[in-house]
Amino acid sequence: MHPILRNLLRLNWLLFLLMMALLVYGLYAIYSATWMRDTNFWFPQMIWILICLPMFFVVSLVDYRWVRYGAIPLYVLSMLFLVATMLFGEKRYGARSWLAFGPMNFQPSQLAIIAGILTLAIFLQGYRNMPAFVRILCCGLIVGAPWILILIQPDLGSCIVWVPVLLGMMFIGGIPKRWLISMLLVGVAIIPVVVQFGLKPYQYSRITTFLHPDLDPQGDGWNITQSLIAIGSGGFSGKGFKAPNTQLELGFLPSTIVHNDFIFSVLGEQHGFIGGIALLGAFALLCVLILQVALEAGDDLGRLLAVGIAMLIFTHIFMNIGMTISVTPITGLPLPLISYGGSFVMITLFGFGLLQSIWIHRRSAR
Amino acid sequence: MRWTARTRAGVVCAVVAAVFTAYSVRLVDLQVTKHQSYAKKAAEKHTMRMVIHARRGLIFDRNGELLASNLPVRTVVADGSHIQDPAALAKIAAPFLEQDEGDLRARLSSEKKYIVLRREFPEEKAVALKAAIQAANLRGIYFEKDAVRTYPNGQMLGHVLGFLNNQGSGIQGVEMTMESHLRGQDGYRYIEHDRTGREIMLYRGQEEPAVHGLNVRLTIDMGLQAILEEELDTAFRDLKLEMAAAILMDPNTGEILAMASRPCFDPNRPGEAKPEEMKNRAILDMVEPGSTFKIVVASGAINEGIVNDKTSIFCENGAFSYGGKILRDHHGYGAMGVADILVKSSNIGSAKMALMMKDAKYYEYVRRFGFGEKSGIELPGEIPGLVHPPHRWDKLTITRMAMGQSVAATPLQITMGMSVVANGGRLFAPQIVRSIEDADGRVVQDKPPKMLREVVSKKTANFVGRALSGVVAEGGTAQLAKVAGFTTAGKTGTAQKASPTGGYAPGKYVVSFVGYLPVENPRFVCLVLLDDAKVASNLNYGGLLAAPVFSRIGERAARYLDLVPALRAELPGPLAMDDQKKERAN
Repeated sequence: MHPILRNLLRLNWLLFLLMMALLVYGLYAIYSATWMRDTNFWFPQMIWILICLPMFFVVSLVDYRWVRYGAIPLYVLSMLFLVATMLFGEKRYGARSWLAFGPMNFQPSQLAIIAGILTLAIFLQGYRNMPAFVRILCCGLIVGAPWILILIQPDLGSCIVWVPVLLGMMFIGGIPKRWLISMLLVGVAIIPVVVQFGLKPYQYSRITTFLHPDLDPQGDGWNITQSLIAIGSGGFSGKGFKAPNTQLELGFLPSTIVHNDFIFSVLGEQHGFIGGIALLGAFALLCVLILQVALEAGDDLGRLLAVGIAMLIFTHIFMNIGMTISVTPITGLPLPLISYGGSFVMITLFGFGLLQSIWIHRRSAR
Repeated sequence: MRWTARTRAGVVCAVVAAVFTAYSVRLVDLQVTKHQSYAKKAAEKHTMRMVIHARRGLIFDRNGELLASNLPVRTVVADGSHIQDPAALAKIAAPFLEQDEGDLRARLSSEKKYIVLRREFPEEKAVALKAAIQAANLRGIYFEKDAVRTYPNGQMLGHVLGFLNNQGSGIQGVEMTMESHLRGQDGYRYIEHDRTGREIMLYRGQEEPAVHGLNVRLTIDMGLQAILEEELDTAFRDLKLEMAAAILMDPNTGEILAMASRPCFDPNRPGEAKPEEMKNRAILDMVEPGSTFKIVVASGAINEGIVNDKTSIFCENGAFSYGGKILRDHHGYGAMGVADILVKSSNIGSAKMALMMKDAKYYEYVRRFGFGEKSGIELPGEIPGLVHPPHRWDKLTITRMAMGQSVAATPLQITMGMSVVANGGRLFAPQIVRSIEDADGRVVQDKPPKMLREVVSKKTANFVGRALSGVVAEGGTAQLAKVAGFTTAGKTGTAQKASPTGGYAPGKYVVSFVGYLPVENPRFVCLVLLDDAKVASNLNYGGLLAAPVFSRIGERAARYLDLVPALRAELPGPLAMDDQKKERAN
C-alpha cells in the first residue's frame, strides 16, 4: 500500500467525521441565518471550505515535526503581517484588524496565534531544563510581541484567546503549578485596574453591558438582549427551520454579524434546547477528541501543539457561545467550524490538519 | 508531587467538561425555565397593539342636516421598545411634528410601548413622515387612524353642539350630554412589524373591531336656527348688547326648534373662545323675568277660581301702600279686569292677585310652571333658577314675585312658562335630542315628547292667551311684536339688571319679549332676551327693543314653516311711547 494512503487510513476518523459534520452543519447554520437576505453567505463559506480541505489533508499527511523548522519563519511572517495591518489595515467594527489581499480579506491576528502556538511548542519542548522563571519570561516574550500589536488594533477578543492558550501550554509544558497559580492570581488582580484605566470607552461599555444588559437595552445592550430573547424564545424544541416571525427573520438579531458572531443565537432560536445541547455535546466531544490526540501524542512537541490548538478551539467556543447566552462579555470571536469567516476557516482547518498529523505520526520514530 | 502529562491532560479535560456543563445549565435556564418570559418578550418585540379608533357619532338636525362630523387625521404614536436611536428619530420627526427636538428625544427615549406624540396630524404629513423614517431605516413611530371633529356650520348652534377636549370627549353641549351614545367603543388589533416598522400583513393577529358611535338627531331645525341667529346677531350688533339669548320652541311637544346665545364662539376652534363666549345663556343665565312673570299669577288666580273674567281689581290709581312701602304703576289705573292687568302690565293688579291667592298657593303655581327646578334638557350645566320657598319670604316678597322680581329664571324656563299658556295648560319637558340612530339611520332610541304635568286647565290657558294677544294689539305694551298676517300673543318683560356688587345696576336693563303664534293653534313660542342695550333709558323697554326682533323672527319663521296667514297684512301703527312706559316693571 502506498505510504500516503496508509497514513490517510490512520486518520483519527472520529475527529475527522465530527469536524466534517460540524462544517456541514455550519453551512446549514449560515444559510439559516441569511436565507431571507440578498447576500447568502453559505456559498462563499463552502468555497472556502473546498479550498482549505486539500490544505487540511496536506498538513495531516506531512509529519508535524516540520514545525521545528517552520515555526520561526511563520512567526516572523505573522509579525510582519501584523505590522502591515497596523499600517495598511482595513477598519471594521472599530478595529484595524483586517488586511486585504485582492479580493480576499484576512485577519493576521488569527495567523499570529497559530504561529504563536507553534513557536511556544518548540520552545517549551526544547528548553526543559531552564529555570522556570526564565522559561515563563521567554514565553511571555514570544506571546507579548504579537499580543501588543493585536492590542493596538485593538482586537480585545483575539488578545483574550492568547491567555488560556498560553496557560494551557505552560501547564502541559511542565511549568510548576505554583508559578501558574500565582500568575493566574496576579492576572485576576490586575483585571480591575485594566478595566478601570486601560480600556477604551467602547470596550468598557462592553464590560458594563455584560454585567448589566438591562441598563441600556436599546443601545449597548441591544445585541445581547436580542440574542437572549432569540435563544430563550426558542424554547425546548425551537421554532424550526425557516420558521416565520423569528427574531432573526424580523431582523432583531444584528444582521451584520448574525452569521458569524451570533450564529449560536440563530441555532438556539431555530432548534431550541435540543439543538443547543446537541451542538454543545458535539463541541464537548470535539474537545475531548482533541485532548485524546494530545494524550496519545508521540512526543512533547505533539502534545504541546495539540493542547495549544485544543485551548484555541475551546476558548473560541467558550467565548462565542458564552457571549450569546450572556455568560461572557461580547468579544466578537467566531464559533469554530460553524461561523462564517474565510481566514478563520483556513486557520481552523490548518489546526485540525496539525492534530491529524500528530495522531497519524504518533508512533513513528523520532 | 509532579503530575504526569496524562494527569495534566486530565485536568484540562475536567475544565472543559465543567465549562460545557455550565453552558448546558445556562441553556436549560434560558430555553426551558425562562422560555415563557422570553417568548413573551419576543412576541412583544414585533407585535403592537394598534388602537382602532371608533368613529364618533354624527349629529343631525331634525331634517337630517349634518351639524357635526369627522375629518380623518392620524394620531402619531411611538413604541419606545422599538426605538434604537431616539436621537436620530427625533431629528427626523421633530420638523414634521413641529415639536422641539430635545423634548421629542426625551419622550422617545422612554421604554413605554405607547407614547402619543401628536394628535390630529394631517394625513398627508403622516405619509411624508412615514417615508422619511423608512428612508432612514429607523422605526418606532406609527400612525393610527383617527378623526377630528368638525362643525360645518361654524358658529351657528355652537352652544348647543358643544365641542370636544383634546382627548376626544365632549365637554360642552350635546357632545357632552350625549357622550355615551356618540363615543362608541375603540377596538384594537394586534399587528406585527418587522424591524423597519412595516406591518407584516400575513401575520395580522387578533382583532377586536371598533364599535362606532351612534348618531344623534336633534330637534333643532337649522332653517329656523339660521333665522333666529341672524336676527339675534343684528340686534346684538345694532344695540351693542352685552349678551342676548333667543329660543324657539314647539309648545305642543317641548321640542327646542332653535336656540341661540350671544356672544358666541366657533366650536371648531374652542381654544380661541373666551369663557363668557362659551356660555349658553339660554340655560345658564339667571335673569329676573320681570313682567313676563305676571302670566303665572294671572293663570294661577283664574285656575283656582279666585278671580274670573268678570272680576274687577282696583289698582289704587298707581300707588299701592303695602307692608310699609309704596308699590307703583307707571300709569294710575282704577278698577281693571284680569285681562287688562296683563295688557297694561299693572304691578299693583298682579300683586293684589297674588295676595288673594295667599303665599302657599301662589308658590305652588310658580313651581308648577317649572320655575325653580331644572328642566332636564339634554344640555350640560343647566341651572334651576332661584325661587325661594314661602318660609323664607318677607311680607313684601309675594308682591314683588308677582311682577317678576325677587325671583330668577333661565330664559328656557320663561319660554316653557309661555308654552304652558300657548298649548292649553300643559308643561312639557323641553327636549333638544329627538332620537338616537345607528349608522344606517335606524332609530335606536326614540325620545317622544314628555308631558310633565297639567299646570292649569285649558280654559284658564285660553283665557290668559286671549289676554296676551291684547298685549300685541293696539293699546298693548308690545305692538311692535305684531307679526303681519298672524294672530300673535306675548308678554314683554323689562327688569333692572342685578349688579355684581349687590342690588341693581343703575341704567342697565334686561328686556325681553316672549310670545307665540298663531294664537288659535300655536306653532312656536319664541323668546328674545336682550341684556344691557346701549340705548337711551327711555327707549330701553322689551316692547321697543325685543318685540321688533320677535316680530321679524316670527314673520320669517312663519314663512319658513309655510303657515297660512289668517289675517290681512297691515303695517304696525305709530310708536306709542307712553304705552311702553306702562310696561316697566320696577
